Amino acid sequence: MAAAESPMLEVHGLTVTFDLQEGDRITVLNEVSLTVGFGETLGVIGESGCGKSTLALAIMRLVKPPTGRIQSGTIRLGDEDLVMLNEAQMRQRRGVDLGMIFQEPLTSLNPVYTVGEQIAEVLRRHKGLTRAEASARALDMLRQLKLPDPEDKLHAFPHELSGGMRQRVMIAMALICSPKLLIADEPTTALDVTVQAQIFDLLKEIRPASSAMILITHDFGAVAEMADRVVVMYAGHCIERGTVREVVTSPAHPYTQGLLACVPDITNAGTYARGTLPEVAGTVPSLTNLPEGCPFSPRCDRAIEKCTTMPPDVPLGAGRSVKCWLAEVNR
Amino acid sequence: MTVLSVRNLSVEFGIRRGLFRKGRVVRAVQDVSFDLIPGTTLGLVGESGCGKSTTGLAAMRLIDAHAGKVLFGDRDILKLQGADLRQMRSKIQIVFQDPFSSLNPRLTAAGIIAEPLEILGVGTPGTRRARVDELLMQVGLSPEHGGLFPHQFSGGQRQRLGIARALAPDPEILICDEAVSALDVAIQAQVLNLLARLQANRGFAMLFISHDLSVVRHVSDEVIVMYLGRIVERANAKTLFDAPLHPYTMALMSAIPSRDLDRPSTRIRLQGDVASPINVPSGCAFHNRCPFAQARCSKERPELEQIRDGHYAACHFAGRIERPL
Repeated sequence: MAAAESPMLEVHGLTVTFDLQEGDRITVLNEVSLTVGFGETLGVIGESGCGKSTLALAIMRLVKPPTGRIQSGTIRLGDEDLVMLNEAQMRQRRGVDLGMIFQEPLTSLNPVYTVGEQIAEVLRRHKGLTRAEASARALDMLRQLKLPDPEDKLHAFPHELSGGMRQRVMIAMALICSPKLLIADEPTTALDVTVQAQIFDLLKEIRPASSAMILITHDFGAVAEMADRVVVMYAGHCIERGTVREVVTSPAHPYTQGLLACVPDITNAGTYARGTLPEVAGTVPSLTNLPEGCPFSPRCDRAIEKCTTMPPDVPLGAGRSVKCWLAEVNR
Repeated sequence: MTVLSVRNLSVEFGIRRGLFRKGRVVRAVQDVSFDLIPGTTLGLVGESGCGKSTTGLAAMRLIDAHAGKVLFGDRDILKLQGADLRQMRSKIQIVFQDPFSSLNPRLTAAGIIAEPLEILGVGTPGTRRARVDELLMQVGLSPEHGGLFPHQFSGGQRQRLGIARALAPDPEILICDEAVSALDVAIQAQVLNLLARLQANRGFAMLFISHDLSVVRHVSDEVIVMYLGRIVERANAKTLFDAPLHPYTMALMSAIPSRDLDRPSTRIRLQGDVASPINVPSGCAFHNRCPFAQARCSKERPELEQIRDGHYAACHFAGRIERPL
C-alpha cells in the first residue's frame, strides 16, 4: 500500500529539544525520519519516554518555545513544510489537514461545553458553518461513530459519558473536517479491551480511504491489527522500520527482538514457562544522561566495541532499515 | 491444601444522592467464592468495574464485606478485630497498581520496607535492618538503595520496593492488584519473572488481579473471569483460555489485538460498554451485550455451574455455543 513516489507526510531529520529547569537541554527526538503514504497507517511503537508522543506533538507543531524547540528537520505535508509555518497558518492546518486523538479523552475535552458544541466548534471555525448546520453535521458524525442515542449525547457534557463514548467524541472532533492525516496517540490505552476493539474497528471503517494515520502505541498487538508499516523508537531515535510483517516476524534490532519476546502472547501461550519470560535487562536511559553511541548498547547483550559510537541507519531493503552495528557488520 | 477460603463474598457500597433522595446501592461483588492454594496463583480477570479489585481488598479487610466468609484456617477474617486482625493481615499482603502513590514519599526505601515489621513488632531494629537488606536483594535491588527516597527510583524499581514491603512480614498470601499494569512491557517482564521466582522460593499463594488476559494466562494456575460483580467463568488457565465456555470470556479473548498476522479475523464484537454496577441488567448481567442472548437470558440469572470437569460457567447455553476462532 506504500505510495513510493510522493508520500503524504514526510518527516526528515527531525530533532526536538526541551530545556529543563536546571539549565540542561535534552534531545527528545534525534534526527527522526519517516514517511506516511496515502491511505496508509504507520505504527510508531516504543516505551515511555522514547519520544513517540513528542513526535506527534511536533508534527502538530504543538512543541513550543520557550521549553520545547524544533532544532532542525522538515515536516512536509504535501508540498508544504509545516516547520516553516507561523502559528496563524498552523491553526488553519490543525483540524482541517491534521487531526489528533489523545490518550485521555476526559482531560482533552472541555468540561463546560456540551459534546455537540465542541464538535460543532471545529466546523464553525474552519468551515464557517452556521450553528444549526454544524450541529446537524455533528449529529451525523456521532451516528456514524455508533454512539447510542446520538441526539441525547449531543447535549451531554463529557463527564456524563463513559470512557469509550468520550473517545468516540474525540474521534468525531478529529475527523469532522476529514483531515488528510490523523494522529492517534495511544487512543485506547485508557479503555477496556472490548471497547478498544470497537474503537479500532471504527478507526478502520470511518476514515476516508485516501487519508493516512499515525498510530502511536506501546502494544505490538495494536500495531499488527491496525498498521501497514511500523517505526520502532528508543531514546529519541528511530531504531528500526519496515512493514509490520517484516518487523513482527523478523525483528532486526536487539531492542525490537526483546520488546516482542518479553510480552506474554495469549495466542502463543506456553512458549515460555512461568518465570522465564525473556527480559530486556536494565531500564530505558535517562535523556539527561544518555550513554555514548547507541543508546541501547548498555542493555544489549550483543553489544560490541563499535557500539560506543552511534550506528548508521543500515538499509535492509525497500523501506526497511535498522540502526545497529550488528546489521552493518553482517552486511 | 487451602490457605484461604473465600465463601459467598458480597460487597455493597451505598451512594448518597442528596439530602432527600433515596440512596442507591452498588453491588460491587456478589456471591464470590474461591480458594487460594500455597505455591499457586489464582488469576482474577475482568474489565473496569467488574469487582475484581474490590474482591481482593475485601479478602484482606481493607474494605468491609457485606456478606460471606473469608476463612484463614478456622478463623473468619471478616469477624476479626484489633490486634487479631493486625496479626492476620501480616499473613496477607498486597502490591498495588500505582508504584507512585502507594509508597510514602517521606520515607526512605529502607523505612518503607521496615514499616510493616515495626508495626507488627517483629525483631529488633538491628535484625530488621538486616531483613530489609535481604529483602532489597531478593527483589533485585541492592542494600545501598535503602537510603534513597521513592522519587529517586524508576517505576519498575518502585514496584520492586512495593513487593519487598509486601514480603517483609513473610506473608502466606500475596495479592497483586494490577501490579504490573503501570509498567512498560520490558519492565513488566522483569517484575513477572521476579514474582514467579519469589513464589517458587517462598511458596506463598498469589491472587493476581489484572485486566490483561495474556499476563493472567502466563502467571495463573487457575483463572476466574468476573463481570459486573459476579464470577462468570472459572477453570484452570489452560482450559479456560483454550476452550472458554462463557461468551464474555470468548469476547474478551477475541478483542485482544493479536500479533499473529495470519489469525483469521472472525471476531465476537461486543456492542456498547459494560453496564453500570448501579443498574445491573436483569437476568444474566451480560445479556444486553451478548451476541448469543436468548429471551431466557434477560429473565433468568444463570448460576455458576460445573459444565465440564473443574470448568465452571454461569451461562444458560454454556457448552452449546459454537466459538468462532
